[in-house]
Amino acid sequence: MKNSVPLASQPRTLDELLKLHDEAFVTGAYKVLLGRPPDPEGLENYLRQIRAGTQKSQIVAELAGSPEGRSRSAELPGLGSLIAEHRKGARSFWLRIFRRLSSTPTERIERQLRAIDNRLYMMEQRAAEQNRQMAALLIVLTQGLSEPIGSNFHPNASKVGDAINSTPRSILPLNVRQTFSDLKATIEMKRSE
Amino acid sequence: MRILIDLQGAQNASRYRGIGRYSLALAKGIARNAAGHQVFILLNGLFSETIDDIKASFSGILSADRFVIFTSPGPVCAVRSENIWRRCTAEILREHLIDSLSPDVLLITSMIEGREDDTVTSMGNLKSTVPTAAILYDLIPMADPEQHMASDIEKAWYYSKIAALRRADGLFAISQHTANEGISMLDIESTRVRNISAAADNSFSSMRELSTDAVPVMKRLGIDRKYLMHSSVFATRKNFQGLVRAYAALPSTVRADYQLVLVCKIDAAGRGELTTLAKSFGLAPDDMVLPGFVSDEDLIALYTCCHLFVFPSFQEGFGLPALEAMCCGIPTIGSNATSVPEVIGRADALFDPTSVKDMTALILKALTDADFYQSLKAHAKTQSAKFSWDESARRAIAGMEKLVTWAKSSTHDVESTITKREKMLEAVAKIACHTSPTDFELLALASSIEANRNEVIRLEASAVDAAF
Repeated sequence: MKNSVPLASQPRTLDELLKLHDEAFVTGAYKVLLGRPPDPEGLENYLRQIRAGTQKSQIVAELAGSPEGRSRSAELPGLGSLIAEHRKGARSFWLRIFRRLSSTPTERIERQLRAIDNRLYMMEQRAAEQNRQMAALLIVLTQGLSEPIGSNFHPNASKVGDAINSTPRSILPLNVRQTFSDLKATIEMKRSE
Repeated sequence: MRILIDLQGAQNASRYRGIGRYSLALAKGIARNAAGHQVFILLNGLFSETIDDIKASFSGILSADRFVIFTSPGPVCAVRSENIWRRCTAEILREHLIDSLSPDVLLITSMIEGREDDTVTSMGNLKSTVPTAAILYDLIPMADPEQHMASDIEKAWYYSKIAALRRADGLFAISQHTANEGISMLDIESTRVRNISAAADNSFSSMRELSTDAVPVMKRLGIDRKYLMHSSVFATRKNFQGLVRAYAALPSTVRADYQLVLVCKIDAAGRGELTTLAKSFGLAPDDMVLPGFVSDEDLIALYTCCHLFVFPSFQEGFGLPALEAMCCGIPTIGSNATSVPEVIGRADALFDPTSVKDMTALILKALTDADFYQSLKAHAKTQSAKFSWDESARRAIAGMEKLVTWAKSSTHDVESTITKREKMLEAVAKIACHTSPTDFELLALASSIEANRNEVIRLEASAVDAAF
């Protein structure tokens, strides 16, 4: 949840909306179709679906076709025909269940591909987040520590301890350096117990 | 008395739900009714985007310097096993900060939090002398773990929070029913549990004029005649299905005059289930209305225009929708189970939620017996007036005063700041022994420890009149 991508601006066309991934897509769809951020249950439900490979157009049709979506009737080029398309395919709830149970191998593979596509996107996001943290650390080490470090750093990096202890006095605040050394010493002591 | 209120329940996803609203309303009530006491609010820095809003909502009641921001490395949510080092140390850091501030009493507004977000709640990782109370909302998952918890990791998380609740010096339950459940299910002395009840938001009031004309709202939602209403989250224990059956069993001449409006956020599967059920009982498509998620404004309009509110829930911690309806002056009948009778406060307005026959009979009586209907209407006003946030806040303050008196009667050694710090470092080191944090993570932790120390120093410096 925390690593979500903030939406720079609301998507203006259906294509723009469908190009979004994962949480950005769900949030964008709610903003455009319902004019509000998703409620926690809604977010959870649609994230689960999108991560399992549900078609984005199906989610758009579902949101736009809900009583709330209908009462807002968002104007988005192409939205009307998309909804009509999906109505044809899934007129009733039971028909949809039946279709899901009787899906062809091709449909199943397509679904898996969409799920994998979404997972790749999430990995990319995570990598970007780690890069951001590494950059933040670099700033800390070169310019001194003014802000508390808020998150986890790359677990494979080692020898930071040496770097911290050999850093000139002025770079890291003395109390942080002291606490860091105290932490290391206490851990050593506990380990040897 | 210096009261510290942990208000994280108003920061995370709960803030959209009952628990978040309860936490915020109660904290404000305590601040308003504090009299000679000083109130401080503890917030979690990992939800930095919520802090300004919460501060602003206290404007005129509490000044900005009464807010304590707690820092820890994140993310810490419990369902991800890779967070274990950060989550365990965050708990220790939070307890250490509270212990360093040493308020006279701590109130945790929501203990069972942090499964899927960065809320940090715990009790007893460090030996603290701060008397602690926690709000008890319900123990519904504990009664039926298989139905409410999917994985072992989730169960472990839940039971660790239950253990923390057991360690609290006092529990403030939101109803007498929940208080009784706390005593029996958590197996704690009855003197440690008290009922502080709950209240509805002021916007639910029959005295208020609707801010918008209700007619277009009704039209938009598909309501075209008088209606019976139920409002809740969509869950089995809320018994929507039972109400559909009871409505369908009404004599058709009576039923024809009323629609059934079920207000809940509902997905396609739930909608399909209810629609199929309604159809199988021969209801016409427009007999049952499912408006889905509605705004607060629409909800108030729906309450205000409703003919009869029916609350058939099997299980509640309190049962706020029934109170909200009564605040709007609406005749309300409901289930005789768990806490609902306390809220409705009238034996002849209750039915057995497991019996469709019983429910149908009472609905029919309310719809056809004009005297009964009028007396329910009068009762709604007098009964709802018994609940207010000021009253709940005063009960909570009285409970905290008692905890402080108890704590004073037991003697304990006061530890120095240095000893407290050493103990905190040792507790963290113990966790490090089986989670092997990297130096990066230790540096992040050291930085958080210092940020929290600065927060204590700031409060000590601003406390000219011996606040902290």
